[in-house]
Amino acid sequence: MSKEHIKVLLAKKKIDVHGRGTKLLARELRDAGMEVVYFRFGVVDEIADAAVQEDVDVVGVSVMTSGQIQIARGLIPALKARGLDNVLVIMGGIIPEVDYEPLYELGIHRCFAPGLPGGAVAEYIRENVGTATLG
Amino acid sequence: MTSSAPGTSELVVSDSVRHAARLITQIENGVPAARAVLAELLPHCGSAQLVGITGPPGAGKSTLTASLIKELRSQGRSVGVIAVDPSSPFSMGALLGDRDRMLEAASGDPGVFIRSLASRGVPGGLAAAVNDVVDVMDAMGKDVVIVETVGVGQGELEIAKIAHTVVLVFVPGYGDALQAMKAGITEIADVVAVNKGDLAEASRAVQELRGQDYVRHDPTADRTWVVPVQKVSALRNEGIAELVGLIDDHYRFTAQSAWRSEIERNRRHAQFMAFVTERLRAELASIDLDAFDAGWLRDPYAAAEEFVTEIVKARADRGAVGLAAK
Repeated sequence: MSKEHIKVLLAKKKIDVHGRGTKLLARELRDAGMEVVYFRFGVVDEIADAAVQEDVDVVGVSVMTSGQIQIARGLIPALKARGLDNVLVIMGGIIPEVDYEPLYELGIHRCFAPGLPGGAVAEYIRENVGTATLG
Repeated sequence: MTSSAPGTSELVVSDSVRHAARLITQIENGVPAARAVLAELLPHCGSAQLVGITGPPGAGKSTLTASLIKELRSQGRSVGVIAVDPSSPFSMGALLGDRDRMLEAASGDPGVFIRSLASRGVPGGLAAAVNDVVDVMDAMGKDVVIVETVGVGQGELEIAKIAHTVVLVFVPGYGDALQAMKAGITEIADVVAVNKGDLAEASRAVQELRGQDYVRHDPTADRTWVVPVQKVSALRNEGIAELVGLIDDHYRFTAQSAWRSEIERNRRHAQFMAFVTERLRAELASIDLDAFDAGWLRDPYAAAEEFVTEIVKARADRGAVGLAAK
């Protein structure tokens, strides 16, 4: 589905100082024509609250200091509980590959490893936005 | 689209964040169905106090807005925030960072609804959209709706006009008195806040701004409002309660004459203008080129004039409902 204005919520843990990746990605998505809400969260409910108020198409979570499984376990039901069942949910940062499958089972649509070529995330979003469901 | 189905307006009035948020997206995208819902919301509008926050980039508008949210919440007043950030004129993308500064003030509180909007490069269009979004938050029952804009450019002034009270945020060291005298921005301020009051130069900035003797003339009565200058520190949460007090003072002041109803009337007129413009553009665009007489468009100026005159005349012939007789 092609959308004129794709809105993305980029969330990063508040206690996590590793912000360069998220900021770089925010800029990249902005330059790809997307509207990016950047913010730092303490608990996953804050991500879900922000996502519903901003009515975003995509939720991206940066994880640099572990906790991805717990975040996914809380986030997906929190999004669904607020009626956001067709939002695309992606993760990036330092996530061991062995966690990818469990994360996909929890409802995360895609994990991005560090070092991808520029534009990879934007391309994925553009191709998949609007088609995803949180089944 | 489910949002245009019957029931959306009721759900918005009953404070459904999901439905309100989706309606706002439709407003942003100019979806015609949103108009019908807005019309149903109208009877539920009119009780919210509208506050505009404007000022140069980096003045601390978002941080100050966060402090205002906290103060208003402590007084038991619910808050809606519309935070506007610029879109890139090149990619049309935008980085909306205001929410990040407001997080602690709003976290997990159902009494606070924050929505970030990208300006999308259409100043007139943005002002119209913000006007409609204000109605959504008003209908949701928010006691105070804060509109925060990047204080640069004509379009921002249009947005500021939506508010009952416009707060202009300055910072010490922004410039000398001459900077503050430059035309435009200070002429719309009802309350001036000097932020970063923890800095040593803040007191001098306050003095200089007070020395300007800013006043606002009531457009409906022979009286003036002296624009107060308040030193605040959003960082240290100083002067915030006083600032809310000044905003409320001005709000009450506008109710003592026809000033406030004049602001409301201007808002509705702006919505009328925006809607007519949008509808006519859509109608015009739907007319096939072949429908035009071969020779008629040879002189587009005369053709356009004739076209508009015809519409206006048709209204005049019917007795021009809604317009006062000249």
